[in-house]
Amino acid sequence: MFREALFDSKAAAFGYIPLAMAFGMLFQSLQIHWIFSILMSFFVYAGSAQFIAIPLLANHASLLSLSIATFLVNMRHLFYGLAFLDKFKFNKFLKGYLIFGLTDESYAIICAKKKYDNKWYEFYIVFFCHLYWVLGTVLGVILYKNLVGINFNFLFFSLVTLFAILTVDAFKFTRNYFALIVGVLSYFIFRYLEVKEYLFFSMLLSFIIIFIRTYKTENMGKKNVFG
Amino acid sequence: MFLDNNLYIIYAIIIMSVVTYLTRIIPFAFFQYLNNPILRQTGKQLPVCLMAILTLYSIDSLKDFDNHYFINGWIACLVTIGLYLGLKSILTSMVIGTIVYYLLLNKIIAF
Repeated sequence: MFREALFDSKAAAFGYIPLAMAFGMLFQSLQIHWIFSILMSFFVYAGSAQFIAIPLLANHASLLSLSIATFLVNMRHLFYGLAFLDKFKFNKFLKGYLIFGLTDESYAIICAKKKYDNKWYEFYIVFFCHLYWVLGTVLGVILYKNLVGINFNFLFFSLVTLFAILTVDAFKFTRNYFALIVGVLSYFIFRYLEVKEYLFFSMLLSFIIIFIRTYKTENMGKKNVFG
Repeated sequence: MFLDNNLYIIYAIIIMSVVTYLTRIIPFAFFQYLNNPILRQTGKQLPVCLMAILTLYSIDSLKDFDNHYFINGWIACLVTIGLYLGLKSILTSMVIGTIVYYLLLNKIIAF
């Protein structure tokens, strides 16, 4: 199981190590102690939320807006767990760790290899992904220390590429123009109204609109069925 | 960008870990409440919407150091999407997209 997991997790290694390196370098550009980058990757372990935190921390955002942004960016996890309720058959401590390590990548790998259905396979996948993420951060911190004077700002763009790719994947999966347009429009509304927490409000507005629309179509469906 | 307040960073890390862990453990703890068809259906539609918002937000965040962030960001972003659709390789399109942005930012190539 160890070997299969190591082999299957190599896709995550190619994705996580460079991205975590970019995170490590950018987080260091806030001029803080190196240990914080590693603690952040070890304990928070949420790629998008960690990147989004960088501009927020740089602007000394309140802890409340930091937690709201973290919650919204990670909200998709709520729906991953629903697929895994019958998995992770460990004692409380190990199960707690596996739930902690449920990321986009580990979720995708475990879903793709349903045939194994082995709890140790699940454990190793989660463990390796976490390891790659921390390792990449350490490499990023080391690289930052050794490349003094180089401006790493352009690395912020790796975040744009990540989100653009995730958008393409999500769109391919659902082909949902409505959700895409709602998201883009609500973002521009709050952005150009110059609302301070425009990230939060645009996500909240889109959630409400999509929820109401889903509620309406579900009810219409029921009416049609029952006459 | 300079942070001298270690305590602020420590609080930030603690609060972010707690919130992130909550989003991961809630479905296991409150399965019966979340297993509602409307919420599940909404959940399926959310990723494309939230990821699009985050793409726009991360392009706008470039304005802190790039005066031409809009044009540079969008060109490099479209290059990334095009490469990803063509090559289907996440890493290649991320790396080339970021290199294109680096070249645009430093005016090595210009439009």
